[in-house]
Amino acid sequence: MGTLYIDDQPVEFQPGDNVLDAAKRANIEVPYFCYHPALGAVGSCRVCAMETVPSREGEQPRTVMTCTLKAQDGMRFRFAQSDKAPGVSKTMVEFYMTRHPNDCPVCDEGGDCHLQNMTVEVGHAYRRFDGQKKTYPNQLLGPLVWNTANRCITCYRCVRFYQDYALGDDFGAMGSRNNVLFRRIDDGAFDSPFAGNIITVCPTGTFTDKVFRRKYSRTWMLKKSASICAHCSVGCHVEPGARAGTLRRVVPNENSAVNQYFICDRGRYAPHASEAANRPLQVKVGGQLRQEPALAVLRQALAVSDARWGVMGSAREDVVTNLVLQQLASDLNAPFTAFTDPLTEVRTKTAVNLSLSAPSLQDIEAADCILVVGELTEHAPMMELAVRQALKQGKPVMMLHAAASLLAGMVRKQRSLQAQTQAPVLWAETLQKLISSLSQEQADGWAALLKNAKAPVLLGVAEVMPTAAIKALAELAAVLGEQARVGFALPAANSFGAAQVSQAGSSEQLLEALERGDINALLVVGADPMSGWQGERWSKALAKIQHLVVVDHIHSATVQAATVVVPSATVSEHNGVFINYEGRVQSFAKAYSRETQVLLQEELIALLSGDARARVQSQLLSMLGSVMPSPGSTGSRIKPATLPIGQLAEAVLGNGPALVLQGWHGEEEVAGFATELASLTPHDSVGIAPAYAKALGLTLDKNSRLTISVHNKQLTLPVSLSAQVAEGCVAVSRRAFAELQARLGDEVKLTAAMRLSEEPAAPSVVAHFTPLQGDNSNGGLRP
Amino acid sequence: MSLTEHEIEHLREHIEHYPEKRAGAIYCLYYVQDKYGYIPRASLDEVSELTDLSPTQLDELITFYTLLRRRPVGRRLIRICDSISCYTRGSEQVLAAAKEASGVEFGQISKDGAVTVLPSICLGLCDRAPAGLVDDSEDLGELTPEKIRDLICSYAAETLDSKSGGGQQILAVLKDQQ
Amino acid sequence: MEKVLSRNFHHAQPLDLATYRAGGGYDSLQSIFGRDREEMVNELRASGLRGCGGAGFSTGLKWSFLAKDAPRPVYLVINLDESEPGSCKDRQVLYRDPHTIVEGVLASAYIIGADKAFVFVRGEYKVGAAKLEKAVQEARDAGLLGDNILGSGFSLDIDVHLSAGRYICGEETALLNALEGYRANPRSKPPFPAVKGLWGQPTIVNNMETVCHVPSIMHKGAQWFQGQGQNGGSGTHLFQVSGPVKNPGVFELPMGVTARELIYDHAGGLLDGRKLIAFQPGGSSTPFMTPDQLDTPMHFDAVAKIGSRLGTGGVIIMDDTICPLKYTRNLIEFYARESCGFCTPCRDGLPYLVHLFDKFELGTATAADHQTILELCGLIGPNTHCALAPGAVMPVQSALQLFDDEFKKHIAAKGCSYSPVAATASQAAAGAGVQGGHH
Repeated sequence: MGTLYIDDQPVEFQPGDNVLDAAKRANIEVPYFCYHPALGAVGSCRVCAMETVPSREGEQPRTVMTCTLKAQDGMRFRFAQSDKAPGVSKTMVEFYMTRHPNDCPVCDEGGDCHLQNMTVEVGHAYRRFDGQKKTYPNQLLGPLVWNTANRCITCYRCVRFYQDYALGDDFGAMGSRNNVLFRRIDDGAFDSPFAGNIITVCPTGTFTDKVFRRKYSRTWMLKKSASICAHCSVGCHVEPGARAGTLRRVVPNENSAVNQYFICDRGRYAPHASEAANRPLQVKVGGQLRQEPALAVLRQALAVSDARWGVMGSAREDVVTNLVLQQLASDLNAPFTAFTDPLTEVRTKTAVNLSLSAPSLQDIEAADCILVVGELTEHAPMMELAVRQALKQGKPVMMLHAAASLLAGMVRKQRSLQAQTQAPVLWAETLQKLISSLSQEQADGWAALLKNAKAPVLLGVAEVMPTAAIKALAELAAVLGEQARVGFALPAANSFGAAQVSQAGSSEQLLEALERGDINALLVVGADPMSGWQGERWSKALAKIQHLVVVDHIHSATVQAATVVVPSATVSEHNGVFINYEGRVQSFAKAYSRETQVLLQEELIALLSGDARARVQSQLLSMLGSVMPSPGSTGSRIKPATLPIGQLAEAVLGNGPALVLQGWHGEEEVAGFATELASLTPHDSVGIAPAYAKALGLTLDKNSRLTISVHNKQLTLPVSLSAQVAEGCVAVSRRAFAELQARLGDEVKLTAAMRLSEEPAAPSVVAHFTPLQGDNSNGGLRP
Repeated sequence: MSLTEHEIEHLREHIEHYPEKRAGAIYCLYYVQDKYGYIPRASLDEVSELTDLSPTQLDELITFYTLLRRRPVGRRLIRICDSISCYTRGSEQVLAAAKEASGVEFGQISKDGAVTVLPSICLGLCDRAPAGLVDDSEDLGELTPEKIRDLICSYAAETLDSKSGGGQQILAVLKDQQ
Repeated sequence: MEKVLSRNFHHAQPLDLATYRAGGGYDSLQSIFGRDREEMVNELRASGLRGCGGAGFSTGLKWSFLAKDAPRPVYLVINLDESEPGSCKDRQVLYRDPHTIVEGVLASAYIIGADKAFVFVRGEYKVGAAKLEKAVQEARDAGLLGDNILGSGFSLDIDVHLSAGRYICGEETALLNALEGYRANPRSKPPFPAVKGLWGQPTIVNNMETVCHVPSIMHKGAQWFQGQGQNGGSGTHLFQVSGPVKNPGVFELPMGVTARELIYDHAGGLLDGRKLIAFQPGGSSTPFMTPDQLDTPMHFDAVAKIGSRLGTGGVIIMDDTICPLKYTRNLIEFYARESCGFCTPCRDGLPYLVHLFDKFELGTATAADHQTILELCGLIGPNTHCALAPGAVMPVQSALQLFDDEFKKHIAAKGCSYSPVAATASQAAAGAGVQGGHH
């Protein structure tokens, strides 16, 4: 804390502030470009100028860049009062405009443009530069991000985010002088799960949202709301923008406690599933589209006389919806669950019980030692971005995993011994060993790193961790002491909330009731049991019943099998409450209304009896407390009582290869319906470690294919040889799991299949260049 | 087109001079360039393996540093200084003559594959202005339009493969240029 | 005056180690090894040796910034990225007497207590780098480099690093980035390299010529060094004269020799029929001096006193046949092209100036453009990330003052009345091969 003076006004500053930070805090509107609160200051734009006030005789006032000056007590500056500083800022903007095109009328950024704002603010109203503007080639960057290179003002924010902050390496600064271009070596989509943030940090329209571009609206015409991302359990704050009843874009909504400034590409692009061509937008009964209102049809469907109901909620639907469904089930005297898979239910609840002091993303960033169990990137990308911040600072990050993962690759590159592959069935044992070596006098390896850490963080991926491993990770945290925090990436946005409303063993009970024929009708809201881990059992059971009423907004396998389909609203289309992996209660507001009849989840309450409604109210109160957080606020964390869980047998170590999940950071139940994002889904393959293949007697190369047999299903896939897949395991995608109707850890048989055709290697292509006009320092030798 | 095991070993050894691998990147890129006359895309993957820098990060270096290039040049690469000391002694005319004699724009390969002419920053040969540098190793001093024309003619008479690496690739590029 | 840097230039080939040592090479180590380091730094400060790369900062003072308990390793980095137009002195030593460099590096590394030295050689000096590498290897083989050198307990190795082009690498922090394998954008200062330099370690960066003076200062004393200078200068310096003179070259002369002696006595005066209009005293980034200032002693303080900079001591001549605006445009275009592209005023401001100069040549310039050049120079100079652009605008500002009437004439005549610059090969050059250093 201290005080400096700008135009004789006292300005308080915080430790670590630079002068620009302090000025911004005091609401002094200093222009800037290259500075960004998350990326820091580099002093490249030279716009945030102020003039020093000499403190000693003989000293001359000079212009300084406030972003590069550490705030110190008693410093004095002139800003508005200065004769010189405003001229510096204005001239820098004038320099930008010697290259930046005047294409504001057709620019996606127009009206929402930092450069536009600053140009007006510094008063650069008339152009005196009368030379030709230099032009630059655009680069095609895949389906998500659009590049208009001419608009670049070379503030380096994009590359500082992409490489320095998010540790990506396939996008950089090319060239030099006034010929710097920010690009990838080859055209095409980004590798990083966070690439979309270069759109957010770009102060001009150089990088814009390509999906938004296809259905563009001036940004001030968008209907926006403070919402929460529905595509993983982190619960990032987002701002959906819609127009004419359709979603146009999603951007991060700045906040201080959860995701701060950024979101992952799944969070940015998965919501476009709401615009998928096959999205159910009309009621369908017995395969026939109907014009009636959704709620009326649902009421009618539930009123059939011969039905003995079961009700299924969902971990991707909000707290209120699940509570209402639970009470509806009670009205109908029906079994209820919010889970599609008994194993996932057990793992989720086990993890939730142990998550009461889960680290926030900022705790993770500040950790001095991190242990990650499972493929974190692919399950909770923003949690992984927080891990990258610790990794970047050289803090030890250790990883125990079974399939290839972006984070594992990164850890391995930094310190190869700190990423270990192992079959999930062995994780609990490994963690227990770690616990016992902690108690030894001379702990070494991972144990030493954890023991010496002042703020260690342990992170697990609940969906892929055997229950014993989840417990072992929490035990490890307990042994390390109070300074250690443990948290789990949960399977869906509201897994924490869903766990609170389901009885122990609820999904297994519902499934068994169906299988026994105790119930012959099922209401499903926002879930797709037929594509999940128990797809086989659900498909069989559901084939037998007469009434399958499905409420959803994606064209899922379960929707396709339904007798009645009721279209529902997406997260951006209704109000609700999610509880994230930390137990943080966050509400979200509706951004827009769909023009067609979709069921708003909160409308379900109309189906309830008066008693049931009262019970919903009181449960909500007891669960969340009296104060509902307002949308946009980061809410507070609840610490619910320990959930009863029940017993369930889990996979044990077998002899043959076990199936593990090869996740992808853009993948999630809903995301698969977002056309542009889904177009980047990696080709299906079967991942296997070369050494393990050899041990199995398989001779494999990049053209090999393998047939996987499990139960009575078979699937043939190209081989992806990767040392990142654990011994004893083969890794396949969620889609392959669904096709095989297999479960995590299932033992499979592998047989060699017909090889891919051996195409000759592509000849090396020599790019053709034309020298740029007047570009004689390298004679056009550079692209 | 790839580096031999022996070459990779040599590069690995050099990289070990430095506390961080990336410091060896320039050396590796030079090595590849000396071998092929330029840095082919496929070689970037090999250098990437050695230095832990991605191909994009290597290209960040290549596009920054003037002496590295990702496309082939003629059998002889002639740099002619256009900075002030040489300028005051007529480098503009020398460059114009060189361009004319090569028959193509700066940076392009002459039709016979013999030369590529590039303007250059000061070569530290101010005492011999107007000056130049051939293949980054042979000094040219006291240049005149006549001298540079004669030099380029003499290079045209050299055989295609008398210089290592260049021959076949230059032919391929020439085909591409036409 | 005793020649120091060019003492072996009369040999046709660089000396091998044995011959170099026979001439007293590496003898200086006897007066250095074992002597108190702080005392040697003080002696260096007293000698008046100043950085020969252009900035002219006291070498002893710079070395004293290195903390005594500086964390290990400490690096010594030699800047052999000579690229400033008009400067060609370091090249001469590199190509003609590399052992002088090895000796200078070794002496300097001992004094500052460096654990390792890097010599950063610009890519265009590839052949010279190979010669230096050879000398380093000879020294290694003879035990002059390596562990426990000559039983002194001091260990050092020299790594010759060949860079890959670009003027900006000569900026000391950009050089460190280049050496580390990054793009050579200059770093923010503070922290200064002496605190946090190469790979975050304390680092001293010196010009090659600077360290080559160290052995003789240690051997013969600060007073001797001072006595080598004239008119208030200390020691000798490798001066260079280029442009339309009869005998362009590199000359080792007392620091403080007058510009007149340098240009007329040593460089032979201007070509016949040419008249001196102005000259830059120390490379292309230094403000112009005029014929009435010819008697100025060429040392840092004297040149600074009349508003220019000694820089590298590379004198560039402007005669009456070249348009001063064209001349200045060439300078500014060089800097615009060599900008690293990091900060706005340099990256986008310098090309703007080039454009304005083009208007004068094309005859489309107005009085407002003249005014804009003046205004922009004032805004670019003090507001950049590093010293490249300030160096670029200094000669422009000086040209605006000196050639005010030329700017006006170009506006009035709607263009330039000078003929294009004629190709004039150096007269002395016929058959002379590499020259310089002889006088």
